[in-house]
Amino acid sequence: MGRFDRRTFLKGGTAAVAAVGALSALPTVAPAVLGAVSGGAEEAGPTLAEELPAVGEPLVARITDAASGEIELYFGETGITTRDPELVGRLLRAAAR
Amino acid sequence: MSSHREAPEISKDPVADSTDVYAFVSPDQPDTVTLISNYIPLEGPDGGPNFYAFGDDVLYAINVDNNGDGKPEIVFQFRFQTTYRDPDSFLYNVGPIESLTSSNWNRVQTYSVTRVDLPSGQATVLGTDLPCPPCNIGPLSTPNYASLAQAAVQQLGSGVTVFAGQRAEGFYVDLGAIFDLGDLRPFENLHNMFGLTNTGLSSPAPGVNATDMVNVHTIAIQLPISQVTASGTVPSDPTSPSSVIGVWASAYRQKVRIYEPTPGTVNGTGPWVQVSRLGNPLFNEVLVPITKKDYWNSQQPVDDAQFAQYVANPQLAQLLPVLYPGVFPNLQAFNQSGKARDDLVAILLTGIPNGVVKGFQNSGGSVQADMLRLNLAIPPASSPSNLGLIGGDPAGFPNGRRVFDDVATIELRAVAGATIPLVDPSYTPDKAAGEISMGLTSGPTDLSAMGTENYLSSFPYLGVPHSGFDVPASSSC
Repeated sequence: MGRFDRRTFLKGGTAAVAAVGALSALPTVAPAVLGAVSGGAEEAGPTLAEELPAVGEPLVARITDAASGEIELYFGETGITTRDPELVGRLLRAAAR
Repeated sequence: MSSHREAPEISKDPVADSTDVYAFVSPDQPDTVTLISNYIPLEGPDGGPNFYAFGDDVLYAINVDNNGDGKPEIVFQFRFQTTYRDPDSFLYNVGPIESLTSSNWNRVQTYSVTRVDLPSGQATVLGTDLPCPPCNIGPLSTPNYASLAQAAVQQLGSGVTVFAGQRAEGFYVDLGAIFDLGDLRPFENLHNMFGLTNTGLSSPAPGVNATDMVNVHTIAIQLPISQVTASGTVPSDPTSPSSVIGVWASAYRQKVRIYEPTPGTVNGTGPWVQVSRLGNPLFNEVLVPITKKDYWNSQQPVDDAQFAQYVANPQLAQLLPVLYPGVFPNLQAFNQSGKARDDLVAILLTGIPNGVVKGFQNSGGSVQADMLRLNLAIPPASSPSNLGLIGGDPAGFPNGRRVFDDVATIELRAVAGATIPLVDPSYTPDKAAGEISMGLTSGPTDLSAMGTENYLSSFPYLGVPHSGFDVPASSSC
């Protein structure tokens, strides 16, 4: 634990307290229960059947950066970030119809 | 409701809107700690035909930091599920509900409790299919309600006790006046009134408890103190930082909501996103700018240094001398000096370290994080003061928070300068800073807010909820 005592407190608590810095990127809830959006390089696709969304389960795609082809996929309690410029292009063309 | 409807977006989502968090060494079982988080602000008792329930699509959590790093080491997660015994009926109940298994009760909610230890992520299911009590409807639907609801207090083994369901709102506050441009009814004749005439505010008036006769939905857990400390033991040294835990509540929704007109359902998909959190009462409500309140709700306490500026220079402290001319001259001078409110930073963001208040500390570390900080080595008070620490009672707020602590008055006095001497002994608080009050208690030993609150002496401590049959409210509302 950082040094935080009466002397530093009376001198000026805000100055003495260390800044936390950048926003925490760590999930603060159990990954076993709560999914986290995981970044990843361009993926060829999941290799395990249990990684696929269940049949009938919603799967939502959100284009987060059309220029780079970045897309987020949400299903179950999971979010996946991937890059697929070709897929993004097809989605944008479909939306423009 | 110390954080009720406090942010624009969460105000539209009552079932995920945390209203209050309490953390205290249980007065009737001082080897245990009680953690409570409430949801659904300003819940009217007469809420038929559906009444109120937790969100099946919300993940509720009570978080514990036991090493002062501003992050949770223990998370208690609660998930709810609603079932209908007769989906073809329009009724919540088709006859008197005389037990939690009554076939007359149509809209039934159950829940699970899981303990997650971090950073390992080990999840331990503490209980499943636990019953919520029905809402308190009236003498025909829910006769003998007190005992009916008490049956929903569940023992989970290893000394863990839980309850989830409707309770009487325990937070008392003159909501109508305080958000009418800072009107404090006992002092309203001193308000500058913005030049308005005929306001009817010419004399001091008694406070009005806005939460009288309203309910709330409560998640409560009581467990041995040794199960929340890093050492696995019961602390005995109140001067040790390891005697302090940080507690806050959070609620999550999935990132995407899909509305299906057929069959009329709403489903969530994707990762869980934090939409609500609460540590100290009134933090987001009165310190964080309105355009940042929903963002604040999404953040983790460990990142609260980004909000420290609003604690160190609160707008409310600047307003008090303006709203009440001549009443806070010392506060006004302090404001004009530009000095930071290091006292508030300590109370709300880091805890008070050893040596500042004789015999008291609740600082587990130096990380700026909004959490209730509870020193587990300080026993319950034999003669509590609703003013907590500033009333000479170290077992009360800001040492955790008990259900009867007058947190609105305590925090107003602090903001008005009553606690500046903690960091600046040369400062003399204005007389008014020590007298400012919501006007809802008859004195520091009043633990019932002049009879508008009816707490229990044992778990879950919050009172029997008001029945819909008894509402509209009495003339005191």
